[in-house]
Amino acid sequence: MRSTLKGFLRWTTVGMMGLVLPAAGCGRAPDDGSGEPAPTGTAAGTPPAATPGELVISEASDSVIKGTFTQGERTLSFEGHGGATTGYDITVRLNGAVLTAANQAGGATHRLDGVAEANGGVIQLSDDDHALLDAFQKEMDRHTAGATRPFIQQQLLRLSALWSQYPSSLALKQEVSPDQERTFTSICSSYLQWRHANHDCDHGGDYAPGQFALASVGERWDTGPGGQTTHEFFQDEPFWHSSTFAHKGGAYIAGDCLGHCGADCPAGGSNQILTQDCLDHDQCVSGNHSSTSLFCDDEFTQAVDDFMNAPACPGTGIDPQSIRNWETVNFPNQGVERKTGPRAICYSAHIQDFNWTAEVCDDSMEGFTDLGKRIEAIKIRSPIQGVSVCYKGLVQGRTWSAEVCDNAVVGTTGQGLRLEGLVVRTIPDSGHLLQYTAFIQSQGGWQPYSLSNEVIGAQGLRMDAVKIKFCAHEVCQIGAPLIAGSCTDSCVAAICAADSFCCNNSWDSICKGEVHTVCGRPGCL
Amino acid sequence: METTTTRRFGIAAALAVAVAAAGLGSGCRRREDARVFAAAVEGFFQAAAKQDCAATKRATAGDLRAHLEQQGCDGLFEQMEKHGLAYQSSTAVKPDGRAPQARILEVRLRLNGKERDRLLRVEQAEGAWKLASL
Repeated sequence: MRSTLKGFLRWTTVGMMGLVLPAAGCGRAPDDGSGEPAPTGTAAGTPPAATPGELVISEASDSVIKGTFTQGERTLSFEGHGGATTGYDITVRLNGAVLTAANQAGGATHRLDGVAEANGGVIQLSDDDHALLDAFQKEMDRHTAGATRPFIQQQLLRLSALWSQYPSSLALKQEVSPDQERTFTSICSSYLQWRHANHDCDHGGDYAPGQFALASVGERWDTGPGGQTTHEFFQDEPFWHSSTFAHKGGAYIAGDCLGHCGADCPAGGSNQILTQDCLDHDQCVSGNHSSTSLFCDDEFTQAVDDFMNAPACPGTGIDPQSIRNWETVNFPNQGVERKTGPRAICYSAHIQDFNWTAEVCDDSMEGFTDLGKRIEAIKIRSPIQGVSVCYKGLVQGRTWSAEVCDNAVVGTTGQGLRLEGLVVRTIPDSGHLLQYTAFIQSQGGWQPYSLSNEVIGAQGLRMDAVKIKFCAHEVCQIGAPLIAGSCTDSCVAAICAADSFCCNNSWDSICKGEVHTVCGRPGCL
Repeated sequence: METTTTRRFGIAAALAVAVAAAGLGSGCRRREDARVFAAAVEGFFQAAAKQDCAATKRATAGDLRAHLEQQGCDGLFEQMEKHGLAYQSSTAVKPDGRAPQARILEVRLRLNGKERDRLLRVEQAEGAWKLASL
């Protein structure tokens, strides 16, 4: 997630003018081109040094963090007390501003504020504030990499990331409570996959096809044309560009760890915090509204709680698989999955107003939960050799279709008919290892997962989205690699983390043995 | 021939500018006329609505001016037009706590046919108040 002007500025200034922005990345460019004198009382006027800056932590314990960060002539000081269960208060001072955040013991409400240090007066965060905050949180991330961070350090990092992108058009004082408007959807399972991102141009929830795109979640570009660093790229088929295509419905965007609740990519010490709200905000500012944050304020507001509450995604910090460069990348055509690792089951859907969407795999969501658009048709396949996927559908006003297999279309296109029900099975039969679910908005959301050959959906109702997962076999059987996101057995994820061969190459006898050594279960027979 | 209404408006605007100029020149504290700040914001939106890049830049200062100098105006004009971004009114003005000569305005904007309350900042530059954040 990033502030509005960053995406545009970054490529423009670096790619076209040969300048290098501060490591901050997310912060807007410093005010060095206006020709106007900088107002006294703010730190604007002199760009921050491009060096990472010097971090001095004067006190650090499980419940306290204190120190300073100096970059060029600017100094930021920070102090935090508390823990996850005891409540916390954090204060950051910079450029004459005091930013605070706190919550009560056991309370779910976070109180944020920001005022002038000298007089308590109202302030906005400037480009220079954003840049300094971002440089600080990145250096803090690097500095504490490899250690288990106490809650208070984690919270300081998360808040600094939040403030480093805080729009100038929104008041700094706000309470963040976990009500219906403040929920997050973690999208760790979509890491390095295409995922739908939407924004509404601050339109109060009104979406249109031109406002959605497919974003490569968490992917990082370290070098682009001419050696630019950390950029975003936009596809205008068949080419990728470093300029935006505002409101080009269905455009593809990649780079800069899209979906991460922080300034572009983490510095390397943290895993990414990937959420749908942060992805939507990224897509809003990166691909469409690079000129002013005003159009993305509601996306930012929706994402504020994600910064503070959403979990980090293991393995997404400095995963080399997520790093690409312009010279070597071989972009697939539209609709081809991006991740190079094995997949168990993949599917795509024809959706009202959107045509066929990109194929997703292994429990990723296909469709939309927030647009009220019907799924009209679906295609499903398994990349695992020797496995067929067969399925049939119930189309609005019709009887169940004949069963089709392996990426054949079930449903209709161009007729405006809902796909209301779906039954899926694999050959050979996989029983409980195949699970799938449908999002039915009018029935309150996601249905419980159904097993092989069971019905999902509801006759007469719109199916908004689906998720399908398929575990190729049990952990005590050898065979195809198992996909942690597609297997409900938690032992799969544990073994994948300990021995990636099992999940990238094949589940061999060693993997089978690790059911005992890694998961602590009785050995497989 | 000028109508009474436009003449009155013109007089009021001239007075506002005069008050602003006096305030800028003397440095002593005077009761501020909020219309001066509103006029600065309004001037920006009027220039942008005409898609006059030079005038739009002249109506800006600080961060916003820097962005327009670097990016040009086309993207901003396109987005403002597409989404019907327009200034409605100012509801409050407060001194910027970090910069005594800057003001933070609580304004009502129209965006996509709906009203939004947002914060904008105006700064003194080149002897006038100009919009510094958007």
